[in-house]
Order: sequence, then structure tokens, then C-alpha cells
Amino acid sequence: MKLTIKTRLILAFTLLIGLSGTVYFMADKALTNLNNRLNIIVNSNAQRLIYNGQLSSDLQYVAVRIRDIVMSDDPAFIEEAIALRAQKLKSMDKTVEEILKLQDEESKELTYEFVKVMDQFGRSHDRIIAVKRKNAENAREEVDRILTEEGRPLLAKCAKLIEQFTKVNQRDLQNATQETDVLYQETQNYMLTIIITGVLLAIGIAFWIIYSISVSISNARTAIQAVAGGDLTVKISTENKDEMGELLLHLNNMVVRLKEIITSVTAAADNIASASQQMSGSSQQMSEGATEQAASAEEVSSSMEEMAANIQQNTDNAQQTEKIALQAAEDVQEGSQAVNQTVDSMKKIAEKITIIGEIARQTNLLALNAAVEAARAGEHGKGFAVVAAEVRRLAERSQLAANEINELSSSSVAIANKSGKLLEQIVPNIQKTARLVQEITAASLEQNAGAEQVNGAIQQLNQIIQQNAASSEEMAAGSEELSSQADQLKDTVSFFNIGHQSQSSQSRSSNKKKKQHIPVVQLNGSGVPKKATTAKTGLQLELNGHDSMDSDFVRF
Amino acid sequence: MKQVEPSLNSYLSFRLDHETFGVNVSKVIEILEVPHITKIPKAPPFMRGVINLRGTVLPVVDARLKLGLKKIAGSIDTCIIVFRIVISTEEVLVGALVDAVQEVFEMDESRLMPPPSIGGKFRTDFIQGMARKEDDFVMILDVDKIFTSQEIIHLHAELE
Repeated sequence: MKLTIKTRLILAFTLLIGLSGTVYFMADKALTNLNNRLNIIVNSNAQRLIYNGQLSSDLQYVAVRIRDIVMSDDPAFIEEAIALRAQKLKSMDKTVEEILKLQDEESKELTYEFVKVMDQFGRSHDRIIAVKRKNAENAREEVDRILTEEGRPLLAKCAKLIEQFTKVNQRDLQNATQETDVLYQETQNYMLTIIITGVLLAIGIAFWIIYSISVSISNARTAIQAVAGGDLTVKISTENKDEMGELLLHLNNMVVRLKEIITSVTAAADNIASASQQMSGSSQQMSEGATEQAASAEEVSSSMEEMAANIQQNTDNAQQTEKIALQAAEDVQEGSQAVNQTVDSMKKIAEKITIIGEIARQTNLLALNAAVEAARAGEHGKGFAVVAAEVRRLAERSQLAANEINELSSSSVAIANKSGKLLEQIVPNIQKTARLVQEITAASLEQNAGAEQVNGAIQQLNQIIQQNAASSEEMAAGSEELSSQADQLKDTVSFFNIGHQSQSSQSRSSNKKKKQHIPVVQLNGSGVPKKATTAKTGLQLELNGHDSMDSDFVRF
Repeated sequence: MKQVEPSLNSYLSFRLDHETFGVNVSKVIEILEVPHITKIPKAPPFMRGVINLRGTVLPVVDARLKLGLKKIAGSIDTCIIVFRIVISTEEVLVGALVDAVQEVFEMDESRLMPPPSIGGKFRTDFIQGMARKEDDFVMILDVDKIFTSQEIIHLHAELE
């Protein structure tokens, strides 16, 4: 059953309020009762007593008036007395009616009797009055007789009845007083009982609540004192299930969390320390690298300057080449013209040679004719025939030579034509070459500009590299500072006792393992020392383990 | 005209379509370059026309067509050989267009070999014999037999 303090307080107060309510209810009930009684006493008994008194006095008044009537001789006075008596009788009737309204059974009987007696009494008086009014001689005696014989006993009877009334009423009053006394006593007893019970209950509940709260608060105080003193090994146990129990539970959780946090802060500080040392080394390396880079950039810069000079030289050479090419184009054109002239000359020579050939052919014909003539002359023409044959041979030779020359000149003409065409073809090529060389010149100029830009860029690069070197040195200093800060953090955190400082390095490495998610490759077999698994960085090979992937392989 | 030395030992060789022909010098009057040839209407194809030979009219025959060879256009070596032929005891001059005239050479008639009895490109009755000259043969033509056609006679008759 889980009774929280709130529930308990609510219960206790509800109980007390209930008790108070009960007390109030009972007191109210008793007072109402008493009030009723008092009302009854005042309205009924007292009133009746008053009416009794009134009746008694009225009776006396009536009796006196009757005596006045009897005694007096003055008719006016008698009439006045009669009128007063009648008036008083009427008021007595009213009083009787009032009394009848208040009467209980016993009183009513008395009243009816009183009314009956009063009626007789009245009638006796009426006779007296009648007698008196006659004013006879023996009236006096008659009146006295009636008065003494009838009136006095009736009067005495009436007085007795009134006395009885008064007694009854007195008895009733005493009864009422006794009843109220009893009621008062009962009510007082009840209330005392309830109040005592309520006080006892309130004290018990108060002790219960105060005890439970103070025990829990004492536990909490002890724990908080321990934590304030840096001891996080404190164990807070509670069996309470109320708010204080929850408070202690949360306090326990807080301590556990704090412990975890301190553990991880310590691990993180270790990590930061090692990482910042690495970073310091790395940034020193970076600084060295930047210095080397700067040197390289200087080399590149000087190389670029050399290249720029080379490009300038190329530009000059290309310009000269362009001039030479243009000159060559002109020369080739001249050469082409010369070749054309040569061709013309060759053609003229060929014409001349053709003439020679013609002459030779004609000579040949003449020689043949001569030979024919000589042959027909027979023996006499023999010598002439020899001469003719000789002439013909010469003519043939000159024709052959002419043909050869002709062929040679025609082939020379062809060659010259070809060379002329080639030269004419060369001219545009050379011009194109000149144009290309011009482009090369322009390109070289651009290259020169580009090389200068590259040089500028390299200068900038050099500056940046030097800045980088400075920055990385600063970074090294900063990481050393970070390392010292991490050490300080560790010192600060070591204020907390988390219970397993001796195993802190191991736990740290295990934490690091968790944090860095170093992949653990598990392979079958052995040979890797266990220490490897606790290495701070690098791949961790765990070869002895078994995992689900093993089933995919066949063991040999 | 005198009719002497019908068998001289000298021969004039000329060329027709890669073949070398020879003819006895005694039949040859002279060798001419080709002048302007006046064409004769309605003449047979081998009659190329006539030329003016020092005032006389000389009929010109295309030897290629006459010998059944293809006609070709004339070249610079084309010549006209003026033959003296005997047709039924009448001597007439006839010009023959040949591709080229080569030379005059001497040879004994005994060295002439008889013409082949059958085959060859030409009718053999107008081939006088075959002369061996170096590695080639020279066909010695009998001019009188080639030009004994009636056309020439008629031609001469018409011309005269």
C-alpha cells in the first residue's frame, strides 16, 4: 500500500475535521433540544402561570365588584359595578380560551371544571344582581344568603382550582428543568469523549508522519553531505514509497548519473589530452610541411621565372621565324617565276630541237633516196652508196639525239612545271606557316602573361603557406594548452570519488573503445597477444572470438 | 622507159604495223615526205588520192589497207614510196603510204627463203620471199603483184 505524505496529511486532517464536525453536530443538536425546552417553558408553562395569576386577580376583582354591588345602595354605582363586572368576566373568558390553547390534558380537565364553577358562580351573582335591581325589602337578606350560601363556596372552589393549576404548572416546570439537566450532562459526556479521541488520534498521526519524514530527510541529508564532500560511492536505500522515498530514489539516480558523468568526463579529458598531444605533433608536422611547401613554392616560382624567360625567347624566335618565313615566301615566289622562265626556255629549246629533228629526218630521207639511187646505179654507185649510208647513219644519230634531247627537255619541262607548281603550293604553305608563327607569337605572349600570373599566384601561395606555418605553430601551442587544460580538468574531476579509481585507466580505455567505435575484427585462430585489444588506436583484431559470421566459413 | 636490172641485190626495207617489209630497189623511184593528198571522190578506200609529183599526177595507195591491215592516222615518219610497177607491159608510177622507211640493204637472191605455203597474215602470192635479217624476218614483196588490181588500171585510165 502506497501512502504518500499528502494522502496521510489529507487523511489526518479529514479525520480531525470530521471529528470537529461531529462535535459541532452533536452540540448543535443538544442546543436545539435545550432551546426547544426553553421555548416550551417560556411559551407554555410560564404563560400558563401568568394566565393563572391573571385569572386569580380577575376573580378577586369580580368578587370585589359583587361586594360593591351588595354593599352599595346607589343604583348608579351598582350599574357601574355591574358593567365593570361584565367587562371583567369577558376578559376572563378570553384568558380561559388562551389557557385552553396551551393546556395539556390534565390542565384542560381542571380548566373545564373551573369554567363550570365560574358559570355557577356567575349565575349566583346574576341572581344577586337581579335581586338588587328589584330593590325589595328583603333584598338585603336575600343577597346575603345567596352570597354566603352560594357565592363563598364557589369562590373558594375557584380559588382552589387556580391553586391546583399553579401546582400543576410548577410540577411541569420542575420536570422540564430535570430533563434539560439530563440532556446537558449527556451532551457534555459525548463531546468530551469525541474530543479526547480526536486529540489522541491527531497526536498519533502527527507522530507517524513526522517520524517517516524525518527519517527520510536524515537519509537525504547524509547522502547530500557525502556528495558535497565528493564521495559518489554513497549508497542511498529506502523502503519508503512516499514523496520522500521518491526524493531519495531521484537523489540516488542523480548520484549514479553524476558518477557516470564524472567517469565519462574523466575519459573525455584523457581523450582530449591524448588527442591534443597528437594534434600538437600533427600541427608541428604541418608546420614543417608548410615550411617545405614554402621552399617548394620558391623553387616553383624561380622555375616559373625561367619558364617566362624561355617563353619570351620563344616569342622572339617565333617573330624571327615569321620574318624568315615571309622572306622565304617571297623567295619561293621568285623561284617559282624563275622556274616558269626556265620552262619557257625549255619549250623554246624543244622547238629548236624539233627543227633539228625535222632536218635530221629530211636528211635521212635524202640519204635513203641517195642510197636508192646508188643501189640502182649498181657497181658504179657503190661508193656513193657507202657515203649515203654514212649520211643516213649520221642523220639517224642526230635524229636520235634530237629525240633524246626532246624527251629530256619535255621531261625537264614536266619536272620544272611540277617544281613550279610545288613552289606555288609552297608559297601559301609558307604564308600559312608565317600566320601560324604569328599565332605562336601571340600565344607565347599570352603564355608569358599567364606565367606572370602563375608567378603572382605562387607568391600569394607562398604567403599563405607561411601563414599556415604560423597558424599550425599556434595550433600546436593551443593544443598543448588544451592538453594542460584537460589535465587540470582531470585534477578537478578527481575531487569526486567514483569508487574505482584504480581501474580508471582500464575503464577509460574501455570507454574509449565505446566512444571511438574501433572496429573489432574477430577471426578464428590465435597468435595475436591480448594486449593488442587494449591498444588506444588502430584496428583491433580479436581472433579468439566466435560470431555469427563464423558459420559462413568452413573450418580446416 | 627502159627495162634494166630487174634483179638488183639491194632492197629497201620499210615498216607496216610492226612488221618489216622489203622491196627490191629496182622498183623504187624515190621516197617522199607526205605532202597534201588530194582526195578523189568515189575512189575505193585504199586509194588515198593523188599528189603532185613534180608536175605529174601520182596516185597514192594506202599500203596498210591494201595489205588488209587497219588504217591508222599518219605520223611524222609516214612516207610515200614511189614505185615503178609493170602492169601488162606498161610501166606506171604508184605512191604507197608506209609507216616508216628504214634502210637500203644488200642481200643475195639465193638467201631468200620461199614464202610459207599456208597461213600467215597475207596472201602469199605477192610475197617474193622471206629474208632473214638478224632475228627478224623481212618479207620481200612483189610490188607488181600487189598493185595489179584493176582499180589502179582504171585509175590510171581515168587519170590519163
